[in-house]
Amino acid sequence: MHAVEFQPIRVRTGSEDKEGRLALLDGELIAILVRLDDEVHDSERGKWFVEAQFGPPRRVEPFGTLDDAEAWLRAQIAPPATPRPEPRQARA
Amino acid sequence: MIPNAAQNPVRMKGTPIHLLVERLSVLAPLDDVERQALAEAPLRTMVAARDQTLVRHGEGMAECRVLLSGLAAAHKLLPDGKRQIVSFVLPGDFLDLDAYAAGRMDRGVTALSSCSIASIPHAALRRLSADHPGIALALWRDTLLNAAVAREWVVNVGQRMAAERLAHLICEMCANLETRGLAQGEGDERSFSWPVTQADIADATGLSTVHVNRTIQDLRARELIQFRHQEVTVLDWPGLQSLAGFSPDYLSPFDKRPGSHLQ
Repeated sequence: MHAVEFQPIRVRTGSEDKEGRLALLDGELIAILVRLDDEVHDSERGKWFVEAQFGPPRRVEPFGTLDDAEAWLRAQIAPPATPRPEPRQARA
Repeated sequence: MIPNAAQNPVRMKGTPIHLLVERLSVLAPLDDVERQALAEAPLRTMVAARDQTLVRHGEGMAECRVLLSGLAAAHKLLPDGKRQIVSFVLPGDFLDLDAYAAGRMDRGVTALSSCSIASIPHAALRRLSADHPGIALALWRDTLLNAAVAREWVVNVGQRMAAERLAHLICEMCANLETRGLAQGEGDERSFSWPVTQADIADATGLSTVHVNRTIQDLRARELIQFRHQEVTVLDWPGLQSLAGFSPDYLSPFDKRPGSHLQ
């Protein structure tokens, strides 16, 4: 069983979305989540957005809870069917 | 203007054919004979509701459609269901001119608002282009223009950061609509209707909806735009163009200087 850990971190996003989590998988940083608190997000407020991710980037919808985010993170490390491409910088 | 417009009230300003004639005239100079030939082309009009599929990827057809009013998006669909909007289709634009020459479409087109559309049979278009070099040149230039815009979109998603990217897209919409008399404003202000959702903008810019929300907020905080109820107000038109690095040259990439053989 892999270990998933969320460490609180403040993130400068240029918006009111500041409350973040470093998502660690077996002690390695795999993503940075940010809670959507800015009023511009309307019905998405309170959800956890994948602000940055390491490894093959994939655009995902915000998660309702950190538990949902953990389930997604665990799914990310399912053995790849093909060799992974080189890690890319996270989407701006 | 069309020479016998006075005797032919259905062909007058504001009619579907007028819009097509004016649009093609922007692309290439049409003489009176060419305008008259276009005015007599057989057109059929129809309406479409928001979200209606107007063109299916791979579809071949026997007629070309021109958007008369409303807004549509041309897009590519990915195997996992994601969508990339590759262009917005504005009033006066063809939805599917490619299929006239290529036989099929390499993209789908969906209505983003209620739309009215005119269609002209390929056979009629073929006759018009064979008989009238000006019309043939205008159709050719329409495809050149679309390719120029597509190249600019590659630059946009490939090189510009979020604020510049969205600003550039808004500049393009504003400049395009202004040319067609569909943007209002004076001085440094402009306004136009842009019936898109944040998800549509995300699909056009390669940003997440979260980043689209933040970027709109950023442009608002810089007092460059307001965007509410699908109405864009550009508060500082020169400022927005400057941020975006926008130059409208690519929207009319034709040499119209006196003496040019393409004049």
